[in-house]
Amino acid sequence: MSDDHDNITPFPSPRGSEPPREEPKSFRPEVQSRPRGNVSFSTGVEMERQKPGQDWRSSHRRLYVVLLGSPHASGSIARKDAMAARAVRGVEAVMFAEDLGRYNNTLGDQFKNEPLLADEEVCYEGQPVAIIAGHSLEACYEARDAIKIDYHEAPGILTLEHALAMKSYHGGAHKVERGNAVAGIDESPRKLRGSLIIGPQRPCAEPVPKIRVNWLQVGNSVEVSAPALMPTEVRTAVARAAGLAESAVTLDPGALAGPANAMELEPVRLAALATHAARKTRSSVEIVLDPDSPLFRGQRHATRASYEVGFEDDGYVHAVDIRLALDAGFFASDSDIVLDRALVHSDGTYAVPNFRVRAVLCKTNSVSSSSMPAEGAAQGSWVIEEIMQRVADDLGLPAHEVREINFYDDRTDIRSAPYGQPVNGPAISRVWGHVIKRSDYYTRFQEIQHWNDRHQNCKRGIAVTPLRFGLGDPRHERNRGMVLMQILPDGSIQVRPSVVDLQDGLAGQIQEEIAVRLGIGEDTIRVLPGDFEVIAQATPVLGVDVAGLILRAIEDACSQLIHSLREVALQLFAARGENAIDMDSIFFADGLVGSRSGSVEPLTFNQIIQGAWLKRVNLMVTGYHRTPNLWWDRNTGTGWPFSAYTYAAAVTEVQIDTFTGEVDILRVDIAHEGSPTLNQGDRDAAQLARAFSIGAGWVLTEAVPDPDAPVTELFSADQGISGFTGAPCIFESDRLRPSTDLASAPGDPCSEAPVLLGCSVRQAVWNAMQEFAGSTHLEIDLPLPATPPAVIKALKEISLQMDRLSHQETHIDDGRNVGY
Amino acid sequence: MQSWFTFELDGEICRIENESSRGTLAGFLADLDPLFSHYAESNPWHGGAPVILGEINGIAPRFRCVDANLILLPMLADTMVWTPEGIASLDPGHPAVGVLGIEHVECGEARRMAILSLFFEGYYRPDLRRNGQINEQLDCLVSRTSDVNAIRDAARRLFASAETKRHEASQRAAASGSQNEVWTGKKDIDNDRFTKALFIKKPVDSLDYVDRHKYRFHRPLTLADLQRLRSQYPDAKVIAGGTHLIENLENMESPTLISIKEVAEMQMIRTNQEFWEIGAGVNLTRVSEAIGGEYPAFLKALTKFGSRLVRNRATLGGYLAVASDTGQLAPLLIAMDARLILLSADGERNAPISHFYEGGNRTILRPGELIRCIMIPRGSESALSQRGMTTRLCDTYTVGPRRCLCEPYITGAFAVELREKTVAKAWVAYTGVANIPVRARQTEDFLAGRLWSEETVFAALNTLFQEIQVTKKDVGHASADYRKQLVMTLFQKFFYQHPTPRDVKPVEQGITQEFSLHDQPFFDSVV
Repeated sequence: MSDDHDNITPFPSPRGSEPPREEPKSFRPEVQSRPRGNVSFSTGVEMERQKPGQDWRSSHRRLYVVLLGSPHASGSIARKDAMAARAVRGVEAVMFAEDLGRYNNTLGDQFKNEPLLADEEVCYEGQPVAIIAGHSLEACYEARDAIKIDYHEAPGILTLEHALAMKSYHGGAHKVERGNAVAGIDESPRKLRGSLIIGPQRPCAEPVPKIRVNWLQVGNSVEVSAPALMPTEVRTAVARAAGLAESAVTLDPGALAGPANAMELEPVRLAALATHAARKTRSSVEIVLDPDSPLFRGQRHATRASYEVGFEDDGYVHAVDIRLALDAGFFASDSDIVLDRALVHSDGTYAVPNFRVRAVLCKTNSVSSSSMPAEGAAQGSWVIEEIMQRVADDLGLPAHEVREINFYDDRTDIRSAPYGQPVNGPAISRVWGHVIKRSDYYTRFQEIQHWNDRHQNCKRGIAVTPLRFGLGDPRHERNRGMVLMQILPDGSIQVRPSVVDLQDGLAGQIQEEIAVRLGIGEDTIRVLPGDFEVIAQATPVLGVDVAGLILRAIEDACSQLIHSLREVALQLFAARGENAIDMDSIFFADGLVGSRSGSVEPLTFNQIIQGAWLKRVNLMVTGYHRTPNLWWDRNTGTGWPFSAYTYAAAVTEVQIDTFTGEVDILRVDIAHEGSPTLNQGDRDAAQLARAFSIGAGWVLTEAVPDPDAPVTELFSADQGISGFTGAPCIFESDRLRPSTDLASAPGDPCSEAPVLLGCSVRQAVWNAMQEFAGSTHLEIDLPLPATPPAVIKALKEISLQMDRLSHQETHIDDGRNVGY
Repeated sequence: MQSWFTFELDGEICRIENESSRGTLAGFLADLDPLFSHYAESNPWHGGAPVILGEINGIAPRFRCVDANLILLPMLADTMVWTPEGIASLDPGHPAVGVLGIEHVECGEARRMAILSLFFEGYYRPDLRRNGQINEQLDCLVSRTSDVNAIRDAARRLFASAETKRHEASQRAAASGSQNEVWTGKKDIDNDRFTKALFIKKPVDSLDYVDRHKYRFHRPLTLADLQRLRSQYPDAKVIAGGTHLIENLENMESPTLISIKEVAEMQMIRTNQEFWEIGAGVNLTRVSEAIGGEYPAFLKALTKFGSRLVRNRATLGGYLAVASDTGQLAPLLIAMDARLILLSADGERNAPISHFYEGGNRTILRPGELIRCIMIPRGSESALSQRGMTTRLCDTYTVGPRRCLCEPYITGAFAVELREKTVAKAWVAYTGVANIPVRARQTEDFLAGRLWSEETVFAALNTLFQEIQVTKKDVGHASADYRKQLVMTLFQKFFYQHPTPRDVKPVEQGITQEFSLHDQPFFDSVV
């Protein structure tokens, strides 16, 4: 367990001060000194014994934990028998729900009291029924096969459609409303109704998280190492399972590679299960999952939207009525907030005077759906984009025109979202105008039509879509960040932010922020994220504006330190006889501390720190920031849930191969409001590219495999994640100065919002299909994600419609589909 | 038999004793030092764990980037390995470390190190000269956390600097009147600590290693030794690149592995007027370097075959012996009219590729028999005219859920040899439709003797539709219907991309070249 501390990223190097990078020196502190000759390898046998799980005879026992999952999606358990399993040699414990303790078989209120182990009924396939702990994996698997459980299988609800038909919901519908949508649609000269199914997306299956729990006999405490986005929730669950106070739990979240690869809920569940095994056996345990276990393959909320829209002949949308159904899985542990986010984003950037959105969470016999970046927000706003596209198709207008005339704007008197928070209309027009200009949209729109006339077998399409994304979490208690910051005697600084280490550049940003505020070099500032020994509560990574919160907390800590140091400086100046110095005039720059008033010889920063130590000034401060004035009432659908909105727009050009259905993203142009904090450009750009690729993958390639299909290959789960080669050929992004409402509450707008821009890829494919259909206005049914088979299917539909329209052509043998 | 061997790891001699012969380099490194612990968690299908292997086979010493998960420890005996961590720790830094200095290209140190390895290999590749090849060099990166365009920019800068350096070296060579060997990579123009060590490296020796479980690993150097070992251990498993076998090692019962990777006769690429003879142990990258000019379709097929790491290790012989029913190369090899030379104690026999497979991962290989080499007819113009042909059109198409590192839905490869505008002979082959590579012989017969035109192709589709039945069940989310449709449309695509005898060059990546700057060189004055 302690080994893992060595894995944490080396001391982050100063940004912008290349070459020489600092890292190479610190990369391998040990390797050079460590003999590589036969000294270390002649004792191979001993090395083998030190591997985890094999030294169980030593004082420190390490056990493996495997889980027995339910083979059925739904059913009741008639009988459980572990006699034979417990007798297997090398097995330490086999536990059922009843062995966990009376009130312990739960994840807690926060997770809707989801049971850890199924007791009398099973609710999804793979739901854990028993925990097996043993000295070797072989023994565990043997014991697992020896457990006898009789199920009475019941028909389960496996799909969203089925759940809707059965009215299987979690709670009632929630809604957000403005005007009267029903009356508005009735009064409109044109009406349209339709539906959109948004498929789920999965996190990377790799690496499978290593979750270990170490039961320490001494001091009655627990060490847990689990990579998780919300490590403190892991701590809460572990303490609960262990029957200890949270202060007795030592937490090591390790370093993660970006938010898209880790999960919030899943590690909590697994850590709790492992803790029960550790508690029972009084050992240190490591949980090993089957590759096809659903417990670490939670997926996004699949969504079915049906809508009705009333509009006028010029494309002005008068009324919209949307119904959303989100697949929450059986326990909906994390889904309420996703529903809320879908509701508050479903008006997009469009000021529809009569607007209603109603949403329900559907209960299916599957594992709880989980959150990935922009969960809910994407589902909500893609529906309204779909509606705009349909309206444009119906009228035969270009989609960008319909979008543009419906924007929140100064021309309309609608200046706020249906739930009350003001929307900045000019900011929408600004990003929209910028991206259209920088991408030369109108010219390319024409050019593509000419290109398509010349190419029969490949079609290009282009589309522009806007986004409005709320920064912050409607659960206001999550919107807080803290840091522990201390200045060491030599003037170097350690900062511990309340966030897990994502290695996504936030550490560098923190260094910059502090360096600028204290006027010192970045190289002596060390950022230690993920140190939850000293930080009580983690700031969530998904949903909230984590960088914004942490940077504001840094600002708070720095101002406290500056205040203390100014007093010290004042005293030191006074000791030199310079008395007439105004405290506010003392500045920190270039490693010096001086005064703007008068010609005072400045002191070095280190001299000030020396002075502070001698004068016993506290140089260890906590910085704290919470976003003020947030509220959200989900029962009335009103509130001010976000600190601010961020606005962006993207132009995407794609090419589809009509022979195979493959789609290439040729060029992407994005205009995005950037962060107003100091020098954030680099990280913004990278975050933007990453988030966009998540969205593009979701709409294009990442189809979730059929649940019935056997998991034959280890890699088939992630087959859709686009590789290096599938990335857009040209990717240009401009980060604009933030609009006024963002500037008042600075943040990190680029880490999640661009997921929504994946929509422009979908609309560009749509446009290419229109080009395929030619001038005829045919109905296009493009599934999401638009994988090659799905694109081919849609093209086939179009050509069938075209055939029907032109009767003169004799249809060649069915099934051959020659050129469709 | 010996129970130890050595190899060079990050510039130091590393002696291995008693380590399991079935252990991978990744596992070894993970145990060696906490710094390498991430190697234990890497997965070949998520980019793997790239390390650099110095290779002195073939025409010139080369650094090859390979996946530490897909290489067994004994395979490394007497070789030279650099880990990216080792490269990054050196002072003065390698140029690849310098360009990667920009932050935020990837989340996570392990992934940054993977990029470093790939950059390092690319820096020394004399054939890496155009923008379009960046994707090919870095295609093992599959993640949601890369900033791909930042990585491409960095790669462009690095490879342009390498290209500039090679250009200057070749100009110097031209000025001094000496033979210009810069572009072949035979000459050490970098003269840094990496290449210096590589160019003085001695060829590897034979190895007979036995580990503490009494598992044996043999690496003979000659065909005679190989035959002797095979008769000595009839149950031994032959291993070539090992990219497939290593993933299935757990299920392997045989205690003996025999590597053909250093057998001189199987490491050769020879050619005459009529044939290429490609040894079964030659890795795919080397094959493409040799025949890619003549068969651009082979280069194209490789862009979708695994990743650079896999291609640097996998061999044609190993690929064929595995007999994967979704393989991307088999149809093309059929279309190239390749033949196999099979070797056993009884002597040699040869067979066309289309007869090699027997379905369900079985082949005509008898016990004790192995593939010695692959014979591919020359595709050059002179070779064609000797056979009385005007042109040979040949192309291959792979459709899968993504561009690389995927399990493809279906692969189709087609070739026609034309006399003027008439088809003299045709090849139509697919994988992904049945449990065996399928050749559409009726369609081929139908095409023979007809004009290469749209009418012919449309008429041929009828035959093709009757002939090819999709019996393999769903691959991923590609239904049998979809694949049946692809059987037809891929053939149409072949015609539309090669409508006349002049359109010989395969069209790469659709028509997106103008956007990917595909043919644009890194360095302008490159001829």
